[in-house]
Amino acid sequence: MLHLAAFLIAYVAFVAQSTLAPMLVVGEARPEFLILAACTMMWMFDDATSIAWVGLLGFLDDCLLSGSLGIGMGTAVFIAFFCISPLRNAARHSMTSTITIAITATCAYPCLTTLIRALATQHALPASNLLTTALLNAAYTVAMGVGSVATIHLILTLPKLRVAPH
Amino acid sequence: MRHIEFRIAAILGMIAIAIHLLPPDYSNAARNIVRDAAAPGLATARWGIARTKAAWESRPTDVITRNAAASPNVSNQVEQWKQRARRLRLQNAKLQGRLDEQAREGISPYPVTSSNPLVQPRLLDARVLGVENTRLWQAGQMIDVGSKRGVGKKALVVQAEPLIDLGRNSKMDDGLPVYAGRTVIGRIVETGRWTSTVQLVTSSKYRGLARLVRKGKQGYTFGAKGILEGQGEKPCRLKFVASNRAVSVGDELYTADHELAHPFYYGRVIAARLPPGAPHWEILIEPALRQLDKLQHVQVLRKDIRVAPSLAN
Repeated sequence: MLHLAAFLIAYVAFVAQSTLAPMLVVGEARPEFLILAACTMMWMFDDATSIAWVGLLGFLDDCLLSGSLGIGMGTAVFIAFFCISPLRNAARHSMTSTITIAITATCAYPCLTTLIRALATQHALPASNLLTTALLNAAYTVAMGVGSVATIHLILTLPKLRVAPH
Repeated sequence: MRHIEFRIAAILGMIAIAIHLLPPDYSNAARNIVRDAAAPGLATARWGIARTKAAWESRPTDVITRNAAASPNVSNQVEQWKQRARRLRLQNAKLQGRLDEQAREGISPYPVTSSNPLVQPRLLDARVLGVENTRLWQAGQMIDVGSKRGVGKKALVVQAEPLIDLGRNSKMDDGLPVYAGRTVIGRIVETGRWTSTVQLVTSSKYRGLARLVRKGKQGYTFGAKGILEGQGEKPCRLKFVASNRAVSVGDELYTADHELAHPFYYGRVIAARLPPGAPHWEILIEPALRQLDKLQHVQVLRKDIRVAPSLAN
């Protein structure tokens, strides 16, 4: 059942990345729905399963881009493998550390994939734009994720707060 | 526990490398399967977005909002006028070409009747599924038409008609087909059943036969032909224009497809240099298309073969 939900989340993220993301651009920042879905997978599953799901999401990201497949998938797996333990440890202790790790991982993904794609195709690397765009996208995506979690949390807890005085 | 994670990461990493090494035909097929599987979701999302937009636009607005909304209309009008000017310049160049031909070869003693062309162009509306960050990676754009609607590889993709139709309002129909003078965005490089990938004019892999249109003393005339080549970013390069042909900054560049009666617009010459002793000009072209990130609608040119009624029967 949990895997079916994960599949639906991946599908919705893929569709949202294709249709909604360009509409939600603020300045130079654009939300990355597939990365949001990857964070959700990490929260839903144990370490090993979540790495597999993140790999699948990386593959979906590859399918959205032109060029050869596999770069996004490999990079996503690599980042997930190194981030998952620090992320889980940070989640237990502090919100700030969790957000910092999430932003770093979200920023690392486009930087690494663009770098590998540039190397693979022998294109010039857009170095001047790369880091700023990646940072802006990461900050926007993480803010959107935190905002969504807070809204859902508020919706779920609000009825209980209303009932409490009785 | 850490050991299992490492194993899974290693296996997935190897799968990723294997996928990366797949021949382009297989990887394109896999990509198209995934994109086509997402087609129902994309259609639903588009429907939802269109409904939300319609509801948003039909809400009561105050004066300030209406004034703010006027600026896209003005830019649309400007774009429409520019296109009309290009169409008229093309018509001018065509008529000038016919005049020159008649002056050179004389008037035909037999009455000339024009027949319908064998290839009939048709423009298909498509929506850009904007996923690539064009600032980072100008490799391609995904659009929502595919082989199901008869779109094949190498089909030209052009800028969609602006929303305001000045032609009908101002009664200035010049008799040219709607596609004449449209700005070229790129061409289809991969086709799925419901989606395709567009290779932009600025892509380093883009190559297209092109022809200059120059302003002379007697109006506009068709000039030299060459190969337009993308460089990964603006500007593009026009190659193989012989040194004995006239080229100057400001000349316009159009497609040179012999199957199309009227060409599409690429851009204009911003620099032309003829090194001493070189056989060809070094020409830089500023592509007409701007703000790729904000592009939402495009049109794909499908060439339909006209079937004669006798053959159809």
